[in-house]
Amino acid sequence: MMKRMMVGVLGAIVLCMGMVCTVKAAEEGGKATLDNLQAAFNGESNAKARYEAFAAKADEEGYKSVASLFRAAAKSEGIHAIKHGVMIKKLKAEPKATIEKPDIKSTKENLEASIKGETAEKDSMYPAFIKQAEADKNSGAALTFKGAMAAEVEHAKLYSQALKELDSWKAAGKEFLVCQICGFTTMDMGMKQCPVCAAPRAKFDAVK
Amino acid sequence: MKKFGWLVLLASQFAVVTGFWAYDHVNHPMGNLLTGEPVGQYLAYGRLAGLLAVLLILFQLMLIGRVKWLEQTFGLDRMANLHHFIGFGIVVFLVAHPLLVTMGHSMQAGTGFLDQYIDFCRNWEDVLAAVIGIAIMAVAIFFSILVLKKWVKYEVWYYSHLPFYVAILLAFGHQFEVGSDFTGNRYFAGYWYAIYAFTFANLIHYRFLRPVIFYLRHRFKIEKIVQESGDVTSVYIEGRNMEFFPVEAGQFMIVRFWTKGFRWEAHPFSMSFCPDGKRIRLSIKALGDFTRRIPRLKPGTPVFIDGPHGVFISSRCKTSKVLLVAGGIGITPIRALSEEMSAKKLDVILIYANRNRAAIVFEKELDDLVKASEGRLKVIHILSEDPEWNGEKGRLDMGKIQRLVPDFLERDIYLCGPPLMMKIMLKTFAGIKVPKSSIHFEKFAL
Repeated sequence: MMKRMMVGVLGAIVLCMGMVCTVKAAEEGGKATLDNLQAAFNGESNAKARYEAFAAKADEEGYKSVASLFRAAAKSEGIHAIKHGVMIKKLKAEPKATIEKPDIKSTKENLEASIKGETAEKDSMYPAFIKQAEADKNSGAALTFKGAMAAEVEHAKLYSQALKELDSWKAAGKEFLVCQICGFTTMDMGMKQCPVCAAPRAKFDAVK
Repeated sequence: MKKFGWLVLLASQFAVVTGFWAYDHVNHPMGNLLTGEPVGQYLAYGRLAGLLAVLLILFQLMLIGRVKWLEQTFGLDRMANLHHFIGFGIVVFLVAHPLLVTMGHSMQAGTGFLDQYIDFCRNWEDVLAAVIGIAIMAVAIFFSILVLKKWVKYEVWYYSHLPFYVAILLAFGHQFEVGSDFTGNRYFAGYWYAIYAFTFANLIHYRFLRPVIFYLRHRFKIEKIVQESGDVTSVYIEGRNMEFFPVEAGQFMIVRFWTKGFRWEAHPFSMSFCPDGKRIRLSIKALGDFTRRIPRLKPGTPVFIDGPHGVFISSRCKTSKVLLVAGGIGITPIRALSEEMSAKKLDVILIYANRNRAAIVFEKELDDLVKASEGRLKVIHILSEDPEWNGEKGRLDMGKIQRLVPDFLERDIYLCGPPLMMKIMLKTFAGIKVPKSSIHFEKFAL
């Protein structure tokens, strides 16, 4: 019985180790994927800078809760940039970004531009990047693209909500949670766990 | 049919859990985790291992919870055997769950395995409690191996198993706090609460409350202690309203004598005469430390009875002719059944195997039952090591059964005896295609 149990336990460990090796093997490169990672790194880094500028503008115009949302989204984009950067380094390259000066307009227009940007990322850019990463058998890159895409979906929803209820978003008080692991952003303060990466509440940063 | 129904119900629980799990992971915000990146598969299968481990543990509690409605269908001994078997299988899931989930999260967060594990314990709600819970379970399973190897006493195993309940409670919290299957799906969470509540309600009722209720209702106490032949002692137990104590001939009960030197151990014993509505009698052979102390028990000692248990009963008999086969102390339930079956006017032949005449228990009682049965009960003693015996000699084998009971294939067969005898007889009957439904037996060791 002892032997049978040991065989079972060892079997479970070997299975797990085998899966690790599969993952490691699947983290092989792909030139196109590297280019996509660089593009995503550049895009997320610029989005971070842009949303920080939009937050300052919203504060200036008195849209306190919209400013909080932009700050939360900027934090989230920063996390995505870091994760893309890690994958780029795994492919023996250096992450590069050219930060452009954001085109700052009114808060309403900034929200509209943000929705457009997030929608383009979730509907076209990331799906194409994911497809390429899977073709290149780079599971790590596919994972980081998927994580970013899931967060962009939420960003687009939140921006749309803010735009729809813009007047009520003038007052301060709305708070957002940003997952430190994947950048998922939510207004649900009762959330126990990240629906994307399953990180617990302790791994969320609150942004006001 | 009833048995099939319960088995379908059980299998459906595994289907429900796997279904919920598959739905959650196929419709994940990151895409289908089951066919996606290996990291996602890691997390998905790690979670499935955890879900199945809990489901099996709850099933284990039902198996060992003395749940009457299950026991009446499957028999407590078979449920106990299945419990032992599954217990070792759970280890694989208990190892795979933390291993896969830690690996998945460490890769997802870009940290090392150990760092992730420490992070789980420090920052993830209720995970440290679950880790302690799994450690307790591992110790309990380890002691189960030792007791199987007979390296530790049954009592050590018994008490090492009790913290298992604490371990289950320790592991409960993390399932709802950080178990993404439940935090993201309230229907699954509701189902999970329901199966916990159902299992613990059954366990608490049948395992703990029922014996106390029976005690309060009947106030069982020892009436007298009688030394039978050889090293067998009969304990007569009386109580209030005994006519309402729902016991049948052939059943056994797990008994705890509430007196110094006995109260921390409970053991299963069979009734050795047909219930008369006034008292019950347990006949116990001195085989170990506990049973050797039985003659020291005093009349008036309170007794807690968990039971009666078992489906080794006359109502399972499908024909009007019965062959009872007993070996050694296995005569206890057989003696009770022979009395009941001959009173029910069944045609009963009892073959009773022993080493020598001194080892025969209830010899006179059996003679009296034969006389009172008006020819419906016939008792045949077979002795293997008694040169002065004039009756059947040697070991019980198929040749003897065919000669002594030529119509045995037309009879329901009830077997009770030492494990080796049971094994040989069952193998022999199976070899000559005796229908399984005609053979009745229980292994009383739990």
